[in-house]
Amino acid sequence: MKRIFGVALGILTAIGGFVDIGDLVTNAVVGSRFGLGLVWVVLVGVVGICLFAQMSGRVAAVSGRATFEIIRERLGPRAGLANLGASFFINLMTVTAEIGGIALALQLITSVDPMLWMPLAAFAVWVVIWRTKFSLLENVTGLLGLTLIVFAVALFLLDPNWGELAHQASQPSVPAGEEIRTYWFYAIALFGAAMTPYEVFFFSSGAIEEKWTVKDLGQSRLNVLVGFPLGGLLSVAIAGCAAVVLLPQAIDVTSLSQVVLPVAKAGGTVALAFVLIGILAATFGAALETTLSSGYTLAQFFGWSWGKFRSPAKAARFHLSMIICLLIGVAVLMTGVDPILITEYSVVFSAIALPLTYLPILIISNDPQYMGEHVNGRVTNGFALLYLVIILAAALAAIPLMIITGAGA
Amino acid sequence: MLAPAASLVAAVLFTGCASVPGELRSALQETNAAVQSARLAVRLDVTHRATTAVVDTTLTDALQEITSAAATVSQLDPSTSAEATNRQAALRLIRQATDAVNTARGAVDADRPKHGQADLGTVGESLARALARAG
Repeated sequence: MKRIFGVALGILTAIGGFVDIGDLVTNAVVGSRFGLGLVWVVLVGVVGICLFAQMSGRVAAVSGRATFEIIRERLGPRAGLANLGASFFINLMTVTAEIGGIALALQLITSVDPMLWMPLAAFAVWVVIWRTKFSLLENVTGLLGLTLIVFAVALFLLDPNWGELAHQASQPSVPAGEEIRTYWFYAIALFGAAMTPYEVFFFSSGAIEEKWTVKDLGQSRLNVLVGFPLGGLLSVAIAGCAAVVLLPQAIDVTSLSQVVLPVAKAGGTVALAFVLIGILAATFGAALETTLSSGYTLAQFFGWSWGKFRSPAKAARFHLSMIICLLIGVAVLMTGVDPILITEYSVVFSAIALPLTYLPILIISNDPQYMGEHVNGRVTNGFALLYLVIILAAALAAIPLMIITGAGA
Repeated sequence: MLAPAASLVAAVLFTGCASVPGELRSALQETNAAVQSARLAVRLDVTHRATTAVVDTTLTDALQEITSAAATVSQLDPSTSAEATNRQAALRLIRQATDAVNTARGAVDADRPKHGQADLGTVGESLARALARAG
């Protein structure tokens, strides 16, 4: 019974923890401009993150060491440092975006200006990281994030033309008024939103925090292979709601308030309450994960003590680095920059930096010196190499498309 | 090596520099999106399907979007008298949109959201006509 509960909890938190501010905004933007014409990217992204998370979780469980500890050792300090630089920068952008997302969610609940919430949000994230057990912070936000299922409920309540939605999803095309280059820019952004590097750093470091061994691989595989695809369905529901309500009214999503309007239309204030709780939980949970990922990457690379399983006094540099990251994030937000803009750039830069984190994991998961008999099988390697090509193509195309399209304008 | 780099630079120069008509159309599209968001939010308030906080935030966001569009149009440098006329017309429409959203905000704050619907509807129709003419 306890085992079943554990499995169920793992799957549920994987679903609820899948969506963050990047997924919310990017899927809503895409739905409001292209309908469900980019659903295929969500599918590709979900398969990719399942593969990536599985490999990095297996590396951590089998070797007993987390991502950046091995990257530095296996690739050497110079390559490892380049990897760290890119990954940490993307992580910092994502921390900033998530703190901004929390503040925007609180504005939707209270009408209070988000800039007043930003320092409080960062402080709350720090307090929770400082005082709360790892499993509790992971499970509570993941479970509360499940309320985002209201997007799927709202889509049904809106009584859409299912045939039209299915046609958009199965025969993607560029709508009138949009350009092919903008379509591909948003394909890359959506891919980056699904495969953000922090998820992998958090996943593999979490495996060490929770003292995974080879015996836990089965459960982790179940969490990922069941939870993440169901989380991907939430992403599609967000895009679907935007496609049904906002697209026909030519409302291109540029703010979080627009994202929730379809839910309000479908289910009134009750549905709105669910979605606001879900958004707050999703952004708060992601802020916790990205902040921890920032600490993990630095500490693991430089060989500092790290982990919430250690008291803060025994991992002082780990905790100090996270405090500094939060302060930088708040400082950037307090300049008045739009958190939605930061979110949109962070997902694109995630796609650009992805090869730097993906390739080392692929190399290490094939290395018998670290993995013993648990190296990648042929099927896994087949998919992994295919995804390496996709990831490289996305990374190379991202910057030219960003320039040519004016970041999707 | 230089040829592909030059091609990329040319693509940026020729596609990155938008024309005045193109910029005007984008600004009107942004304004239209903001007005339609405001209309939807006020409708939801009238039918008690949204909280005041969500409606108020949506109207605030709409106003910011319209302000940004106004700034873009103000900074345009028309090269012909036709472009100058179009620019003035766009600015007039954007000002009307600003007034309509402000009226809606006042109506929502006074708990009389219905009073904000008419102006939003009128400017929404004007924007739709302007965008249809712009092609």
